[in-house]
Amino acid sequence: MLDENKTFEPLIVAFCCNWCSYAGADLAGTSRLSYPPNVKIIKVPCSCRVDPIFVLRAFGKGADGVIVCGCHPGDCHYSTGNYFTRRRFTLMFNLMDYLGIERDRMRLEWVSAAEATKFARVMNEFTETITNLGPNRQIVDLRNLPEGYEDLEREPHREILPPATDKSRDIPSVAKIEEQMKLRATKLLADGVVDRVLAWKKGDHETMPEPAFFDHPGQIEDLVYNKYCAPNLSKYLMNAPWLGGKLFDGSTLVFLKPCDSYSFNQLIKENLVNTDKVHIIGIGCGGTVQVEELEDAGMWEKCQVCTKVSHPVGDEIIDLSDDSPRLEKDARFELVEAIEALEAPDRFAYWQSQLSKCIRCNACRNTCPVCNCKRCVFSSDKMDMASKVNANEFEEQLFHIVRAYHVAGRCSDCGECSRVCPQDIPVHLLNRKFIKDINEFYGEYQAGENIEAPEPLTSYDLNNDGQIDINKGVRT
Amino acid sequence: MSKTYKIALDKLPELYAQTAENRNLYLPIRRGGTLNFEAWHKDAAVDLYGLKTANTPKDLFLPQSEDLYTIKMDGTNIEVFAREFFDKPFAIFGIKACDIEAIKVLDNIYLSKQPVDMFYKARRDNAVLISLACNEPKNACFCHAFGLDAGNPGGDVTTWINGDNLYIQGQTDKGSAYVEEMSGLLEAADFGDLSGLQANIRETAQNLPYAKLPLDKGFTSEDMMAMFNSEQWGSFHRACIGCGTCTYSCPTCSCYDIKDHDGGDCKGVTRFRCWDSCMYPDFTLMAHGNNRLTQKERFRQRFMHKLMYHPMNYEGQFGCVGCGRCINKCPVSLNIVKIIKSLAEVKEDANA
Repeated sequence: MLDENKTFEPLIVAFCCNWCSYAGADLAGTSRLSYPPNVKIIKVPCSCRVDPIFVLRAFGKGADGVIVCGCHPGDCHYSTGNYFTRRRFTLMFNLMDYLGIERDRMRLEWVSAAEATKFARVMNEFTETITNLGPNRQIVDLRNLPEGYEDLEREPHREILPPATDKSRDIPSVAKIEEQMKLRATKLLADGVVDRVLAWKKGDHETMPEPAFFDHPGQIEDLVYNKYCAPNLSKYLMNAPWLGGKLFDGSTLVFLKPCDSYSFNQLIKENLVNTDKVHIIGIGCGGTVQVEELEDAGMWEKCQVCTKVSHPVGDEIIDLSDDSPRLEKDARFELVEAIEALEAPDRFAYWQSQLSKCIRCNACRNTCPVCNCKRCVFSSDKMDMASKVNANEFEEQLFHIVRAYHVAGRCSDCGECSRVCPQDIPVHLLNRKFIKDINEFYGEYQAGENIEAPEPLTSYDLNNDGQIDINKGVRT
Repeated sequence: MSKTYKIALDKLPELYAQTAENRNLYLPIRRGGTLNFEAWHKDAAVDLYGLKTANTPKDLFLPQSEDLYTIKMDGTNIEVFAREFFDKPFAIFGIKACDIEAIKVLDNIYLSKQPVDMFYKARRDNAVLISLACNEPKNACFCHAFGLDAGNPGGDVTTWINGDNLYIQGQTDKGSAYVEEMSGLLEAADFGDLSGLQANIRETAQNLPYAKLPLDKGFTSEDMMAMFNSEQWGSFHRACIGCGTCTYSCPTCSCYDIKDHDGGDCKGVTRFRCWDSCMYPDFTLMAHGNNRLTQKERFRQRFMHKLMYHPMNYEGQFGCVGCGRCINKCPVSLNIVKIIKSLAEVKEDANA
């Protein structure tokens, strides 16, 4: 606890771009303009260099406020860098707010080299805001705090969020599709069109089919397709040439459900699969179910609100049930809206109760088709918070926020992350918040739908983006 | 055999409160939709009827992350500060037979050979294990295959939910002392009342789909190299995404990594250990690189350890207790049962 006789002196980290804001700070100094000594400046080549992980790590290391400063839009030394910064932090600050973390602790400001007075004013204002907010206890690695500081008092858990309305429906039989799949797989293997088949293999129990490669027509009898075939097969193709430790140069037949085909198309867009070596058959899907104790435990939420009916990619389509029930409207954001409607402390308590269950097993990351970095930032042993450490809450927050941000604009909402979570954390609701914000701010975008469409976080729209208040996360 | 007592189920909150007076109490609590062993407080949503907790009691003996010692540096002066051993008594209530057996596995690993693990021992010495017979073992349970009795789970104290009462029986000195401490809330009961319940549980457990596994075929030390070199490993692992869920959810997986944290001030480090998983590429990473280059070797390590290396080191005790968590949790439906069945089949073919 802070000494009561001592007034709170916040620690503020300012990321300043080398060309404008840092020069502005310099001019403020030479012009004898005063700004608080609480502000510690970190110079970066461009505001676009600031990854959200920098902001989070600054908080983790004990910062009470973080401000990012760059050139005014249009003035970027590298022409367009800050256009990306603008979109990035609009979404990022909104996600922090969604998590119930005080958004006033973060700010983005445009300060030019000539604006010494603005720089001093912004820093004075921001320091005052942070002083009024008090020390950061919502997102901080307690190991980094001096002794004597106490953790934020956590309220005992209560069920804050009402459960989503059940939209599960009858799942039509896909036995006919399975039959066709077997026929095609056998034929294509026998004709030598493909050298192997990627599909689901019969498990030792009906509910336990596993992703598998079939090398001979004789093995195809073990191929199954039913409501238990939830695993998304698309990521297996990413590493396909090396699977089994051997280089595989042949071509592969892969069966993709509609949601899988969006993920797969995204991988094509990112040049991570060689389409010359893949024969794709899109297959119809009526939804998949959770399995508990080898029993059907009801339709997955992701399937209940699934809107993906067609295959954006595929050499052939096998879909016999044209009349399978479809949702009339996009109900994906119902839970996101329910969380948004909560008061900030409730949002924080909700996410704290969910994220604190995380055991950092990496299932969400490893199954995610767009978590496809060759080496994940969380696998780096150069960082003091490598993948498996779970010393305190900060690491859970850091991991999930950064993971959600890293897939923002690329996530096709396949829902695999939540499906595989052993602790049933609704991880996909973080990604969906990004999707919802992207749709609202930058126009409807479905990752994986069209490989030619520009991605929302690596593009910009000069007419539109300036109308969004980054710090408040609303259209002005 | 020590005396049997009972307490009405609706009086359990009093039992929890009295237990928590002198120690921390951990029991299955549903929070955010998930059942885990968590510290009891009076508003906690205790759920004794959920069969399996997502995490396992091992978390309380081997925390996911635990500080070992701190080194402080001041100029050229370096001081080492040992961490105090855990010294708060605690009780875990509601541990099922499989998890009690898993703690025996951990005891073997950490306590049976010198040097014993002092951090583990400190927590273990402070714990009272209060087991609970399974109300109804379910499909993914296969503790019967390992000879466990879900109707008589053991521990320091054993409890059963029978009708409207919780039956309690001390098993060890520590357990009997606990029952004695609670005696104000308990009334004497007849152990014979439980025979029907126990018979039911046993009947259910032995008729589950995975209750009978061919563990007598090919899981002996003579078969080790044959099993290690089995061609099946080449196909088993192909679906594995290397996520480590099976290891972190496993009640007997006990590997850890040792790392340093600078405490933010660059004036020293805290050395800590944290869970590790043989499914990860950096598991037992050494200066020269890694022994296990692909997921095939990593995958094989996990199952060979459970089914061969552990029994060879600890008098035939398997490193698996049949809790079935990996069956429920594996994202791609791989699990130890599939491996046991497939490996035993090969052995059978070879004998034929």
